[in-house]
Amino acid sequence: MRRYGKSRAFICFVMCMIMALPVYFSSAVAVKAAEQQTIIVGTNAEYSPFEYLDDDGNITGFDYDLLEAIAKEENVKLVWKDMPFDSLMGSMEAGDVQVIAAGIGPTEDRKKSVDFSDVYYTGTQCIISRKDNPIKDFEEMSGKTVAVLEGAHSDMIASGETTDYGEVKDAKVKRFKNASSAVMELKNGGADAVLIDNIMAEIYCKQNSDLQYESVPSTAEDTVFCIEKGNTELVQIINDGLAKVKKSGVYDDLYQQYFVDTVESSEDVTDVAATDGFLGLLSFIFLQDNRWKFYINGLGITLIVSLLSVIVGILIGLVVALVRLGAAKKGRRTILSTIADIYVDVIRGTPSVLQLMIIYFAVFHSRLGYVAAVVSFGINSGAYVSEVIRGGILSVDKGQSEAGRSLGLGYKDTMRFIIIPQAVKTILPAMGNEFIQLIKETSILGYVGIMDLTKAASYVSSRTYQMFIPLIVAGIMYYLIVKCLSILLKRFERRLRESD
Amino acid sequence: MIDVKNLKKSFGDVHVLKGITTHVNKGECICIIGPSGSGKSTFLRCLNLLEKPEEGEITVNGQQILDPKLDVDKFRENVGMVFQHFNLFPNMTVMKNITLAPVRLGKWNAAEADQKARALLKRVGLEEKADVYPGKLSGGQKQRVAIARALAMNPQVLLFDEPTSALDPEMVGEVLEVMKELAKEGMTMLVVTHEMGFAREVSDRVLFMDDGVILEDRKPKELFGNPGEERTKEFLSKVL
Repeated sequence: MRRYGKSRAFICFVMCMIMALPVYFSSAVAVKAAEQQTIIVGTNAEYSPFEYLDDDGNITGFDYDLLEAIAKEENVKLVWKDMPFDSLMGSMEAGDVQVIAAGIGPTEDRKKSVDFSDVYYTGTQCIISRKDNPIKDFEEMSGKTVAVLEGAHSDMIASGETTDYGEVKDAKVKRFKNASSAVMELKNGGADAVLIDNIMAEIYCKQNSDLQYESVPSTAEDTVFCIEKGNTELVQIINDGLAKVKKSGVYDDLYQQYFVDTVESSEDVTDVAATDGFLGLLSFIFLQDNRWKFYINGLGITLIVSLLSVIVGILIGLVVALVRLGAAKKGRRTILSTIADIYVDVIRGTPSVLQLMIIYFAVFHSRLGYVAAVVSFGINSGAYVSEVIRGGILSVDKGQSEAGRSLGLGYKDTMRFIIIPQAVKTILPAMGNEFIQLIKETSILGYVGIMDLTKAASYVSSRTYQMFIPLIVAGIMYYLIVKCLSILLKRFERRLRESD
Repeated sequence: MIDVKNLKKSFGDVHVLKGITTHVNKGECICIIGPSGSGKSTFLRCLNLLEKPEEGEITVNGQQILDPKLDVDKFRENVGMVFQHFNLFPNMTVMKNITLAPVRLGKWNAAEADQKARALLKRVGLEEKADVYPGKLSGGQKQRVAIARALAMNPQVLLFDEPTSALDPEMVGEVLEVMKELAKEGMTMLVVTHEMGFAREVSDRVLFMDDGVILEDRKPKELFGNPGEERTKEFLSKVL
């Protein structure tokens, strides 16, 4: 009985820790707020020049600098959260962010769930198309394939959800998570047009000489910050600050810096390969702006998250395996073993992407991305590891435990001194495999805004408009790491076998 | 010392023990013989609760061992077992195999363990193998270590479950020799075996089991010389 008492207490402890984490950190944030008001701002840093990541991976852009300037005027502190565009509204409804700065237009739909600041920028939607297949207006766009940013204003227009700005008939809409993917789709012929904000259209067309754009005057649209519903005080703060920033000339400086200068300084990158040769292309992709750093940092994050996850997974897996084995030995299920059964069943039966998103957004409320990732992958890995451990323990000859027990050793001692040390020989190599597996599995970290290797590659790809090389380089890095680890693991296994 | 009454055990629909009643006195060496599937091993395993009988009573030194409140681990300390397949712990040296349980359970303190284990190894003639892993031993050596391991707990009874059946023929002798010594020293032993020579020569009584019951329980000379039952005769004629 003591054994179960103890393991139950341990599981309760772990669960309490996991549940307490978000609570703990929200109270920590609350304490800080008392000193200087802290506002959590949600953004999606894939919308250059409004918001994007600089060479060191920090959020920057027009929206960022503008809101920071406002915050300085009003003496408030901002904490920025980068997340997928379509998670922004949900995070605000969940109370995780108080402000959204993501180039958002004040639509009637959004008005139902958030409040708006004063307009800080007015843009129009533009149609980007290939010069060899020009599309000039919504009429010509009808029936064509249109690439848009998922959930953005252009998405609403192209999908026909709003006709206030003109009607697009029967367009096939392809939704992308960032602008450069949409542009890439157009260049690759997967779409006939991209519907997007005018600044972006100007920049992309400057960078890609094979593209052209046409603005659609009827779509002139304001851009605002979204503020959590009912927080009039915060609306007031931002509006006041915005007025001050406009008056002081800071606004104009930022406008010049991000919109006029960015467009002017954009270079044509369509044919880097043709003009500078292959080496020139490589240097453009990896050396310019120190983009290789993204790969190194990304690889580090991939490895650390994988390693920590597998450690968490082993701890969870060991407990779960012992609970399930204990129940099997007694021949009846306990509450704990039922929970363990359900856990293994559910985790193995659902995609890890969903698990990660649920844990990050719903449990951790978009805070502590790395902890959430390790918890999520740890829980995921634990289910698989528990089966490996269970299999390893069951593979030890029954006579071993009979011999231990017949000497008067208890179940615990028999497990600890006799069964587990033998099971470890089959289990350890499998743990190595699990780690290798996780290195690849964690490539979904981008879903919760973590810059792992895959996300880094896709980011570099989006900055350089090169699909093939940035991605293949990430692929090669994954392969080499996995290959090296596999070879080490094989050697290790051989040594284990020799010691028998 | 051991009193068994109407012991019954089945695996699913198969009734393996159909009512065993017998008695073992202190210091006796009893051999259990009979055709395979007759329930010999199951009976032996019931005596240290590796199998749980459904019906009947087992009393050891006046203690009801089928009482659910019994501390099984404590009880097992007094009943050693030697298995057909030795079941040495391959992850430990011979020394550690022997000292693990007595040190862990407080019978020996760590300081004296080494010396006591060596004494036991000397008894089974393997003192030079103390620091070897079981994988490096022959079958006969393994079984002798297993006997030393069982003896380390200083049990009141030793159960042998076909201790020589997995051995190459030339190694059977060395194991039987050790067992013979033990019997001579007055160890209470129950031995399931196919070694008729050992049964005839060493044991005080021989139980002949068939189809889940004890058909004969007699002195070896009588049983081998003049079996009472047709089944016994038939069996003996096949194995002798």
